[in-house]
Amino acid sequence: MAEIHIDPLEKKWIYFIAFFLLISWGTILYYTFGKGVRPPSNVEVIDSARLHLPDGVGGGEFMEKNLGVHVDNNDHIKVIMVAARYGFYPQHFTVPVDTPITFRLASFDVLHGVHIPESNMNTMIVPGYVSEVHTQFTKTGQFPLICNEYCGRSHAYMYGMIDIVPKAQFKAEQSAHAGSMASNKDTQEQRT
Amino acid sequence: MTNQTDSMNAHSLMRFPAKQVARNPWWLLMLLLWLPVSMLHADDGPSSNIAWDAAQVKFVKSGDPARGQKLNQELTCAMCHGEKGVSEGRNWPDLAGQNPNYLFKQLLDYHDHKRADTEAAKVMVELAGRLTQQDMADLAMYYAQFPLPPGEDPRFVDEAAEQTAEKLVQFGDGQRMIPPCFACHGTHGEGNTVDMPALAGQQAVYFRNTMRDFKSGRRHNDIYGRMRYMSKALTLEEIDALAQYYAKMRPPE
Ligand code: HEC
Ligand code: HEC
Ligand SMILES: [Cu+2]
Repeated sequence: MAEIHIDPLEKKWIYFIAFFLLISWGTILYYTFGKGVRPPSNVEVIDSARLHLPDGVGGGEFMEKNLGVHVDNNDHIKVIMVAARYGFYPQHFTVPVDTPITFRLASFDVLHGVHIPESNMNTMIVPGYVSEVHTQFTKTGQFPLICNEYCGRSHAYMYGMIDIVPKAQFKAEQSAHAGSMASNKDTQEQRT
Repeated sequence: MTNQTDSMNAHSLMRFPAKQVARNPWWLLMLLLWLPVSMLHADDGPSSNIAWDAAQVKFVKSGDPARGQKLNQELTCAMCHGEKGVSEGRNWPDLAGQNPNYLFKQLLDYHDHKRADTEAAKVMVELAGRLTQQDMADLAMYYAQFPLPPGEDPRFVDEAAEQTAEKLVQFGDGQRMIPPCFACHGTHGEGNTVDMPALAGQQAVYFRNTMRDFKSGRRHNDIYGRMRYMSKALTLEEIDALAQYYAKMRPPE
């Protein structure tokens, strides 16, 4: 078979592009296997317009009174959160470090995203679907929740706040609040 | 939530129709039957029963402004909110040029006792209780057709304070997680998609009152507490400044 003639300049570009492809594939593989960044694991179709109603999603799972941090009898932690232009609700919440956490996220309006720095928490929140993410935080401290999908005029100002605290502190605060942490009102009181 | 329950019970007690009962004991029976129903309002249900799907938006849009005009007169709304939605007193909100979806939602919320825990809301709860959804859509489309109200300078704060208001409107405050007001209420306070209310030219005293009600949580019909969170983070001085800033705001010609 005759050699195909490739212009040296063309060759240079092929190598150049192959190099960048390898870098980007490498980055993706590194984050999926090294850092555990995965797409949401389930598909649940919902009606975002009725998200806040008792007959809305999952028997009112995303009603205002149900938002926030829930701890079940097996100490499993579930965070139910709504993204709406322009914020995350509840705005500010507390979870323990080094503990498996399930986030259930839904959008009230348009496409949003949520990213928590220094963690593998990074997902799209697509209207019409619940995004479920399983994660475990490894660093304590206060971190912002950042919206990373353009959602409108105030996208750049869409923030939330998470406190990641030592397990013992979480337990203590929890018994002090006696399970009322989920309510909007309490979350606000914690802030002030 | 407990606060709410207390204030609801207080309402029911204050409204006890002693005179009627004295005249006709049947009232007592009715009252006993009504009490559990009134308790239902104090549940922790959703902040509002509205669901803005396409059918709901279309329904409001189909409202008949001519019938709305008639209702505005017949139901005495005009006494407080004016012939054309520019209100007669500083405690009464202007409705002229308001986003019709917002107006519809408020009437529905008053009707469903979702905006019922303030003294000021009482009269509206009473009146809206008798409206059908068709009435609400007709009224909403009637007020919405007028230009935004003229507004006036309430002289709550000096110029420096007004500038802090302008900053909040344009940029919000990231530290306190306050997004800029313009993002939701429009660049010129003209309102925004779906049910975001217009604020330009609004009565400053009403503005201040309703922001304080959000702050205390007694007004809680904003879905997911978007206004409650923000007004909690604002100081009373900032609320006054914002009320003044918006009262003086004019939409472009
Ligand atoms: C006695 C005076 C009075 C009458 C009569 C009255 N209103 Fe009101 N209206 C008020 C007050 C006061 C408020 C603000 C209450 C509050 O803070 O919740 C209000 C609020 C409203 C709002 C909400 C406005 C906003 O910006 O949130 C709407 C809509 C409204 N009224 C429509 C009507 C309609 C329609 C009628 C006739 C059926 C009517 N009102 C009759 C005094 C009145
Ligand atoms: C995230 C979007 C959002 C932002 C940002 C926002 N608002 Fe609102 N605001 C709303 C919504 C939604 C309502 C209507 C609540 C309801 O349905 O009763 C509202 C209602 C109000 C009302 C009551 C209007 C009336 O006629 O009763 C006032 C006053 C107000 N906002 C002031 C402000 C001010 C001042 C700021 C900036 C500090 C601001 N808002 C920022 C969403 C927002
Ligand atoms: Cu967003």
